[in-house]
Amino acid sequence: MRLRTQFIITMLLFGIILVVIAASAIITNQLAEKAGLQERIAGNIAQGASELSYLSNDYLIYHESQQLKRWQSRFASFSTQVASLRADRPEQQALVANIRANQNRLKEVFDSVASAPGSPSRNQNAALNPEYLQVSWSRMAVQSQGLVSDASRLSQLVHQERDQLTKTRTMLMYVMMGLFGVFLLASYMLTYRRILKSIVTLRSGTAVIGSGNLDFVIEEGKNDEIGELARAFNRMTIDLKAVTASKADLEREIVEREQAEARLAYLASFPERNTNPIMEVDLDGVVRYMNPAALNLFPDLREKGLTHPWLVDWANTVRPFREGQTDTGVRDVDVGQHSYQQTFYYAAQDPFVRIYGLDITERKKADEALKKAHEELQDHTGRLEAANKELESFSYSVSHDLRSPLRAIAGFTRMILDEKGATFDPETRRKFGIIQENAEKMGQLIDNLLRLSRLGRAELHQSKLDMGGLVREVMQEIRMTDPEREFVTEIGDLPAAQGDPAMIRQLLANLLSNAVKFTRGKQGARIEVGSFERSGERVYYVKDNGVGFDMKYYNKLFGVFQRLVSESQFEGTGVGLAIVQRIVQRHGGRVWAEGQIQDGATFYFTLPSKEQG
Amino acid sequence: MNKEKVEILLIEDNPADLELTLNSLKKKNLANRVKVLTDGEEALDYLFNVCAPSGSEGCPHLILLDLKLPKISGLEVLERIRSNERTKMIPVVVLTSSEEEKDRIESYRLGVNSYIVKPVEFDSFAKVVSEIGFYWVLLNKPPY
Repeated sequence: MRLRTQFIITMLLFGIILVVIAASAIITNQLAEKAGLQERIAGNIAQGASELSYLSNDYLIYHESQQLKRWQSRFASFSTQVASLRADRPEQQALVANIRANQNRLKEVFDSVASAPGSPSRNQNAALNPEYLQVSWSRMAVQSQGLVSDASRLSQLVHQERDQLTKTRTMLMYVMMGLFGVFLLASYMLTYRRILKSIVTLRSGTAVIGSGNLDFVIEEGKNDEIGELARAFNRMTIDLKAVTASKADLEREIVEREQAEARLAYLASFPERNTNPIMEVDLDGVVRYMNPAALNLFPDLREKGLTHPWLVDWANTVRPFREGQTDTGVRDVDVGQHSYQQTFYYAAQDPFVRIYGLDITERKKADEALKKAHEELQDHTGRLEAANKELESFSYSVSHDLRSPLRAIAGFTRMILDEKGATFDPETRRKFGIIQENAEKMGQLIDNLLRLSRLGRAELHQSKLDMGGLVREVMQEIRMTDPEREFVTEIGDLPAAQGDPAMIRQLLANLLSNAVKFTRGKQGARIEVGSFERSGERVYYVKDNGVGFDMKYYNKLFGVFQRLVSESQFEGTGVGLAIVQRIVQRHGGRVWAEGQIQDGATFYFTLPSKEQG
Repeated sequence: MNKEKVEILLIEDNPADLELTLNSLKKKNLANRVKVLTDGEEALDYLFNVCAPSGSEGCPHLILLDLKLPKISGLEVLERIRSNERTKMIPVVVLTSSEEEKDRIESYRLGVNSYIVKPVEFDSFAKVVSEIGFYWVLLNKPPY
């Protein structure tokens, strides 16, 4: 609501309340006056009735026409008084009706007396019948008495009514005054608070804006005159901001221009400070500008002109510029012991060629060295490839050619034993047995060697490996080869790894079968497989409490055909750990071991995932 | 199955292996139905001779093929057998000393029925050979 409207409404309400108060005062006053008049009339009637009673007595006694007239005139004024009586309440109305009835009867009685024989109207002197007089007198006295008492009663009633009215009026006045006071207070509070609050907001807002914060927006509040003022103020702030901003833009532009000019001056000093030769030469080879570095390097350039090696073959070099084909170019020139790369920029409007020189002597040397190294490397690689091929064909031959004779040795020995064995003495049979055993052993050696060589060449097929599952599977296979062996295995929590499933399986088989083998004959043989993390690396290990090894010979542990225990004690080819090492290396991991004679060995390995490289 | 027609073509140039193989087949009474040839060229000539032009009438029921052969290698023999209408359905088992992956893969690519590496140990070898003979000659039903 707008303040103006609020004011108008408040004033109208004030007016209405005042009118109501005045009207009620007037109405009660009028009612009181009316009651006062009635009281007076009632008093007059009572007095008139008494007077009429006296007058009729006088008339009855003296019987004079004078007295008749007086009575009649008094009665007339009495009648006027009675006629002017007004009654609103039923009790009063009953009284008034009584008064009127009594008045009429009084008149009737008096008239009958007046018109009776001997009355003054008929005969002035005729004496009245005393008996009749007596009756008339008592009748009139009764009527008068009734009139007086009724009029008194009426007067009393009206008086009471007037008292009541006065009380009501006073009460009404108090109530009205009270209501008026409450209304005045309420309207004051509402209007004052509203205006005061808005003005306080406006004042604090303008104080903020006045302090320079042009982004501040004053709360606009209600849709009234103060709200309009706030809005106008906000609009003004925005305009002011725009003006301020454009001024700031202008200032910034000036600063930027100054900076750009400084930058230009700075850039202009570039060729002067540059340690590389920079110059401007026209299409005919006349030098226009040389920076200090160029002057220092080629002091005789201006004098020698086109004969100077710096400008060798100039005519051909600038032909594309002359013909408008291009405006840039690069070439290498040799000046004395140094090589330079020249970068051209042709400014057609001038016209001249800007030459940026760069001493590339060192770079050229390095390029040549690199080229040579590259050639050597390629040569080396070629030789390596050839050697690798040779190795491959060698292993193929080993696979095929060495195994057949072995099989023949073993097979024919067996055939001899089958066919003629019964006729041999035990010593001969034993020696044939040794031949067979060794043939078999050599076969295993060849197989293991081939496996090792294949490991070096085979492609890695990496996938996610359930290490725990793999270890359990391999362990079960090992147990099946010798179900009689007694040993305890403890497989810890083994997180998944990345690797070639077949190779890792081989690795685990070698480590676990070693552990089983080297705990043979040990009381309470125990093999533990576990894993831990060390400096961000996942380490797996296989630990046994077997015969162990001497750390003195650690460097022989992973070598091919290297054995740290005698073969009569523990069979083996001496290739198993070499295979383990090869597999781990192929996966980019590390393998190491800890051991002590007769106190077990622990083999550790890591398998970095592909992402880690 | 007509037992008179049963025949194994053994293509093997190593006399020792040959004798060991025959010795093992003898134990299953299969040796008298074996035809032995020692080089690839001979083997192909023989096959194209005995196999009838229509169908595979007269073909051996099994070819035991070594890979390392003079003149024509075992893999080439296999390829030629499989590319000829008359011989392409004959069951071929490669029996070799080679454990090379490339030999194995190539053999299967050319359509070998089985690839067996000769065990070094004689007992295993004898067992393998007799099992091959038993399976392919007595148990298996050829397509012709």
